[in-house]
Amino acid sequence: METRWPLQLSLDDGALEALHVYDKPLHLKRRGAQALVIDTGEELSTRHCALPASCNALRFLPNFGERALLAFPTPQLLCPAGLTMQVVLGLPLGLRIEALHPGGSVHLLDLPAPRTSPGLYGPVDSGQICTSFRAPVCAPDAGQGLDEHPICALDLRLPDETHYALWATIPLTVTNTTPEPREVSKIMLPTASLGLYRRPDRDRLCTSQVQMRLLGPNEAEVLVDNGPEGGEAIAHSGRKPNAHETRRAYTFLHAYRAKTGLEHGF
Amino acid sequence: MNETINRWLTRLGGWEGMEPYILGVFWVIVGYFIAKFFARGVERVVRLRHGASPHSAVIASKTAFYGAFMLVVLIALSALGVQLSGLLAAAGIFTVALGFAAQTSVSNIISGFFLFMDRPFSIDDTVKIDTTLGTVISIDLLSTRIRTFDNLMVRIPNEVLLKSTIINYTLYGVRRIEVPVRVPFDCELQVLQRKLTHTMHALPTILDEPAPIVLIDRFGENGMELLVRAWSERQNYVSAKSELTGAIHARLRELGVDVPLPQRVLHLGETMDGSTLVSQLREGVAPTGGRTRRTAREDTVATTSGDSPA
Repeated sequence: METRWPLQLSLDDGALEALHVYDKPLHLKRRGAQALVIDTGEELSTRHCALPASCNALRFLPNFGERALLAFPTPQLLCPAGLTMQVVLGLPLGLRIEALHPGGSVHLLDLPAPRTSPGLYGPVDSGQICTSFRAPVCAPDAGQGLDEHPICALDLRLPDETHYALWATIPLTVTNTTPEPREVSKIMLPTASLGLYRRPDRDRLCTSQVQMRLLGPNEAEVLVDNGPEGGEAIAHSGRKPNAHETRRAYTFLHAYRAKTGLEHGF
Repeated sequence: MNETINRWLTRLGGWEGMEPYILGVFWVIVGYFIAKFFARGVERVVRLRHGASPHSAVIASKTAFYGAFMLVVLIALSALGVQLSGLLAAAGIFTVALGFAAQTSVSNIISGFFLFMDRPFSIDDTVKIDTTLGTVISIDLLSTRIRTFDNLMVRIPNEVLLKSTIINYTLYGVRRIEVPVRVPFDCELQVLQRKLTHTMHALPTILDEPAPIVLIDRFGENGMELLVRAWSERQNYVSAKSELTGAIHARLRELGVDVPLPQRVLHLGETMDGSTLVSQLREGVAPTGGRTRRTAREDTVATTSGDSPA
């Protein structure tokens, strides 16, 4: 059974002591009035964390992390000339834990998404560090096409086996306006304009729709659009649900000169 | 005591005669603090409003301080009744004299300005200047100070700095790690390349892009030499290199690939069997009958040292 984000648990709830996140145990135990012990079960990982006065509950939220996302569609996408293709990409999500109190919430901890690693978008002398991941690819009408991929097993589990998915899909539309077939090997998505939604038809998470227009062998234009029709926005990274921002397309270079030296034989 | 003071005052023209000197000193002291205050303001404006680097802010602040203080000194001299026009005329001659006397200092100051224009590093950068490796803590008009990682302060004159090779470790956000790996000659290199690349992709400190790569470098003396190249964020360089080396070692062990140790292959001649050679070596006797022929070089050496060929 899958339920809805955000997850909110009272500090006195015994479930806090037996959570499983990304298939690993996470023990959260209240200590005194204003402290919480966080234990991920790994050596030297226990933390004694302060809580705000009159804190009564913890909130768990999926998030993208602070950095932009750099997705490597696996397998690569090939878009013939003049066609538009629609795919969905799998995206692992991080988990943010916040302490709730009458005055609002306090950010306690971020658990980074597994199966991700840092990646550089751009040349080595001026690029931007992103969170990169190999994104499984599926056609939007293929139903459960992604379900067997390990990314789609990422979740938060309560002791009663209720689980909250910690992965989402990125609906991607690629339009090739060039006279040649083009490959899409990677796509960079700034998280500031990317929203996280609960799909209306399925009990799943998805991001804002992404539209990519291939302009040439190296260049594309990417627009992060709104969420799915009727999708319910999930608050994350301090943004309010249903917050609509002005969205603007940006140029994406997918075949830049990396300047690693290999291209010159070094 | 009073008499002595009165005598001095009389000689200087009484209290009225002292007034310009007092005013001059007053202007210098007050002016010093005003110049300091002004310089601090300039530094703050440059750093906060214009978003300049600490290096630029320090240079702007020092220029502002010396400029303001010079102005104050001129005001003080004017209060003392010194004719500034005459002073300026003398300044040319004075500058020449000063130039000879303070050649090194002037050279350092000019080098400091060239460094400011060139900007090979900034404050808080990690640099290696010739053999000195450390963090830049200050860049002054005369010298640059570096704190080494064993916590020593090294002062390098700007003139020396301008002539030195400077390596800046903090200019770019990512660094490349290279780990040489030696594997046996009979190893399946392509399989190994693929598996090591896969291992590197799984490491959280290694960047996915630029992609890690395993290159077959050369035929080594004792095995094939591979070169593992991966990129990491600058601040994680040391831990990433350690993690990468450990992961390669673990993967090689898992795959049953031994790191070949240095070895020599000894070919025995047909006229001597192995056991005879071993027994002769154990007894400390030079093997005799086993060698059928010597190389030209060995023969030459033997002849020149007075040892005739056997």
